[in-house]
Amino acid sequence: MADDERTDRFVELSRLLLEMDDLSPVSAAAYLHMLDDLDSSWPLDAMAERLLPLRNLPPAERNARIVAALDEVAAWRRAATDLLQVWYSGSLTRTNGDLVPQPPEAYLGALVWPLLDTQAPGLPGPFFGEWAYPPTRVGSR
Amino acid sequence: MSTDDDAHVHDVVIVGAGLAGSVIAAELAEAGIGDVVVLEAGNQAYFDWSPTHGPESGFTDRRDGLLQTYFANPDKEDNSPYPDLAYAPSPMHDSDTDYFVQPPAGQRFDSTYMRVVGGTTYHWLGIAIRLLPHDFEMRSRYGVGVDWPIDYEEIEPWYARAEQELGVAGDDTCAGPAWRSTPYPMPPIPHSYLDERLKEAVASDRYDGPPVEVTPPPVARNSIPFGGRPACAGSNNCTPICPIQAKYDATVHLKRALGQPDVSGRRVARPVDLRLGALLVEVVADRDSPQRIERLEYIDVNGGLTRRSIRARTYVLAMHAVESAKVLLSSNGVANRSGQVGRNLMDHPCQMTYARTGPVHPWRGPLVTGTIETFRHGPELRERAAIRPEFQNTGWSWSTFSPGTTVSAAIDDMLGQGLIGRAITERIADDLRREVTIDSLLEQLPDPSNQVLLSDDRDPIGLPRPKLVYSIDGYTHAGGDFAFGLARSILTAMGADPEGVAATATYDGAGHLLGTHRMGDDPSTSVTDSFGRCHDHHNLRLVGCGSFPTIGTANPSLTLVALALRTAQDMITELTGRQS
Amino acid sequence: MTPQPIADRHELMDALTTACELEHGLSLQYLYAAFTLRSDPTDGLQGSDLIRVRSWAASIFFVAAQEMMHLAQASNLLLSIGGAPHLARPDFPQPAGHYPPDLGWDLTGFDAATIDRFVAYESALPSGPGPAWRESIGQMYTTIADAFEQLDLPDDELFIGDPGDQITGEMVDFPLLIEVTDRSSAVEACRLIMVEGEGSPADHADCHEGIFRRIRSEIGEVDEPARPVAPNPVLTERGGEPHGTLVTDPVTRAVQEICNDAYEVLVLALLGFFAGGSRDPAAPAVKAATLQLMTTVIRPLGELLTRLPIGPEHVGLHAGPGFEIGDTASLPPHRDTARRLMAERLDHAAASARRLADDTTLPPSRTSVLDGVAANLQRCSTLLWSP
Repeated sequence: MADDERTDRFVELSRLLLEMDDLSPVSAAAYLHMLDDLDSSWPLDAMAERLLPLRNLPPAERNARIVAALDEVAAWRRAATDLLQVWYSGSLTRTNGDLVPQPPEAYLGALVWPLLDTQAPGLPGPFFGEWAYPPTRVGSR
Repeated sequence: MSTDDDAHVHDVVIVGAGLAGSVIAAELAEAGIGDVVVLEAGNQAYFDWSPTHGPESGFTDRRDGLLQTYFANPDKEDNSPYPDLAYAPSPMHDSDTDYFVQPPAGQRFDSTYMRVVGGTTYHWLGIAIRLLPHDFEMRSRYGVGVDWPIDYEEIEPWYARAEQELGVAGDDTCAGPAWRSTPYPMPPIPHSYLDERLKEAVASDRYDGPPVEVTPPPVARNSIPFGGRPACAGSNNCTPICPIQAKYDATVHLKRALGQPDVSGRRVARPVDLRLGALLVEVVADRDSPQRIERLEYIDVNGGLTRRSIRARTYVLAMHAVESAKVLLSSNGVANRSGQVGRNLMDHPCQMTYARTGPVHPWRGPLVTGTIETFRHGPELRERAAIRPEFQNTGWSWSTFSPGTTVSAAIDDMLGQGLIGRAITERIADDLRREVTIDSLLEQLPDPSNQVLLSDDRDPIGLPRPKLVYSIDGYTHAGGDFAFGLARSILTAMGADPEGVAATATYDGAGHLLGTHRMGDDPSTSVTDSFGRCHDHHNLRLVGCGSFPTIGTANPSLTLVALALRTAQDMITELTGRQS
Repeated sequence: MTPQPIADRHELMDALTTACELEHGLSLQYLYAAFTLRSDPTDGLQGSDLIRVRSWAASIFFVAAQEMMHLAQASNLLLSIGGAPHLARPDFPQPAGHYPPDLGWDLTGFDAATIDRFVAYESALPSGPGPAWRESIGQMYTTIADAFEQLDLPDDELFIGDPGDQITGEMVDFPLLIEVTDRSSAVEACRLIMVEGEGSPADHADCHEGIFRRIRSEIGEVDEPARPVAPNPVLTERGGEPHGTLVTDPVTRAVQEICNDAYEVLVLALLGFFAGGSRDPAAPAVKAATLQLMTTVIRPLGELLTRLPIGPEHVGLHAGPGFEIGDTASLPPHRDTARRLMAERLDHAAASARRLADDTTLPPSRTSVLDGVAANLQRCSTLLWSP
């Protein structure tokens, strides 16, 4: 399967599990790379084939069926956990405790930062005094 | 760059282009001391400079590469943006590959430094706070520790200068009961939203006597543009690196020493000669008159690892507490008739207490914008360590390695409950928004059995790795217990479930390394006088945090600069025969 | 035409009124440019470019905030001699010659020409070919400072305002703000504004001019640092020259209206705050409301507008906050009533934002901003007044 198609599948699967439509393609490429590094045989294709058709169901039923599917296969539950972990936090840890190498965009694009209405520490800004005020965006994306 | 002129005697050789070395170099250059060489192990300046261009270099700061290294380093610890030089390793927070030789588990010496051009202030937090008057008289006042050979009154004008040199932001509400002769150069950094919720929660509370009063710490962090550097923009990354240099680092003084014009266009009279890739290995005393240091021997990393000599009228070791001690211990007893070189190693152990409170929206602003200064003194210091709580604007990142760990726990818990999607997002957001860590610096008393020794292990270039013997006594543990009780009462006042308040199992290091060549009046119990001059060698000065006989609860860098300025003044008087 | 010395109190008040409009207008121009920068990691810039652009944005926001402080300072100067705060201002654009230093007054996106104009505003040297003003902003303040020093009036006849009416530094989070009580504090206040703007012999790097010059020297390092925006977006065409760019996209117009409403309330709140505000028991709440209106309503709306199309007549160009207040800024005499009216306007704005957010044709990245703004508008409203 061509790389682009595989990345597209990954983005679709991520949108489904995260329940977010607006995902950065730059982040997606980085996170797919990290997941492949963690486990080159993680079941992206099998999970996509089974779960993507659930896309158009009403949310409550969709999510319940996703969870049920993850409960069936240990490897799927693990993969979903890793997928969510890397999107939210930008980092992954191997079973031996080592950290998976992290391209800069993986760190900068981690979803926890906009959730906290902030930026990845180390990016300049936003501006002097901003930290004194309530956050701009209350609530999740 | 080093010329083979073994016979030439420079005016001054300074070893270490970190905070103390750079400040002294700048002072000497400003005073027109002509022939000053700075040896530095680091091999690359992160600003536009070359020996050939010298004072005509652009001096533009170049930290983008460091930032990219940081962004790409999955382990975001204190030294993560910086190179770990094979020939001059820096300690890392990793017990498997650590440069220090010490037991792998239990309460380790946990603080690090950096062997790069500009030194450890690249990664310091930036707290620029004075010791209090009693800190200089712990023995006389409280019957513990030792007294310094100088008192607060003596050092006060140097503190005032140091605050101007670094650019310290603060006001009268900061920093506890110490009188000041001058205002701060800049207004304070504003409190964070978290600090304001904290202040609401503890308003007019007392704990065991003193008020629980939250104030902005004085910091070497611009609250207005200063020295050609911008105001803080809230990049939330002071440690390990400020992306815009709103936080002071020693390249400010190093560049000045190298000839960079200041904001009014003035340059120093005689720029210094900086030699990179120069690794000091031995201090050699004159065999016939050992009170005089005859030469230094260093390895020229860029010259095929050749061993070279250099001579000067005066030598200054400014390599931070561990490296200065290590080289002295490798130098046939130089400076060590007292037997105190390497001994009295101290840190500020950090007691970390953490909980989830009401929403505080962390990960914004400088890492610390609020502290409590009211527990640094008092009769209790006879029995237990003074403490200085700092409030982290970074959630549980220092206590539990959040957000990664919080995310992981939330995902597991929610999937376990059969929930996915938006529910997980909201759970993660809610968990993170309420994370508070209180990091209390504890005083540690000097103990001669806490020390730096030479291990039998060698670093990659064949020099001995430092072996650290370090433990924490009951006096400090008592302070830690007190700090936990105070922190818990604060966190519950802020809405935390008392059952959910936790402390880390061991103390963290504050990033402070002190005491290893302490100053004193008595040559049998100290290594130098208050000007850093070795009791045993009139032309060898030791500067930096290794000079501190006691450490109070103040982050040491401001005191280091005050002492360095005072030492530089003394050197200028000696070298020129006149007051400058 | 060289600047004439100021002859009496009323000329001094005129000059200070101009100063208020100047500082206010500068702040808005700086904000507009900063809002257009592609500072968000999802805007497409990476690596050094992203770092550079975010540094620029932070610096420009800082300067904009200092101009607001200068506005407060000019207001204190006015109050000290018996005047009142002045927050009215003509809408953008204004032609060269309307203010010193004789340049156009425009809301334009971040680019080299815009930064050149900002450098010129802050420069000590006069510039521009127009006939009306041949002085720099710094020279204007020198003329004002000279007047405070030299006006031939006894001090107690010059300083007839009640110092307690002035706004304190604590109330606006500007610790350096000066309370003007006599000639020397008045001169000090003018000098502070000048040093922060154009610097001094001892320091030409840490002033606004130095900051903008530094940005100008770095501009070439980043390709396309900003979103393409139309200059001077307006909701109503005023006729005549120079004219703004009419916003025609309906969603963009709706967002623009909410932003203008929030900005108008901010102006009214500051008007009440700058005179006697420190003594008002509601002062802490008003302070919180004004600061939060700026940082949690106007800023996100301003940035959002720079991502929205201005209209089909200008394909590829986005809008931006127009800051239109139509020359009016007046308050009812009772503070409670005033705050109630402002709160009501914010309630309406919050409702509009919520309605827009419910519009399912908008992508989630837009609706989440509007949701947040609605909540923040509501919070500001409650701070100002609740039953």
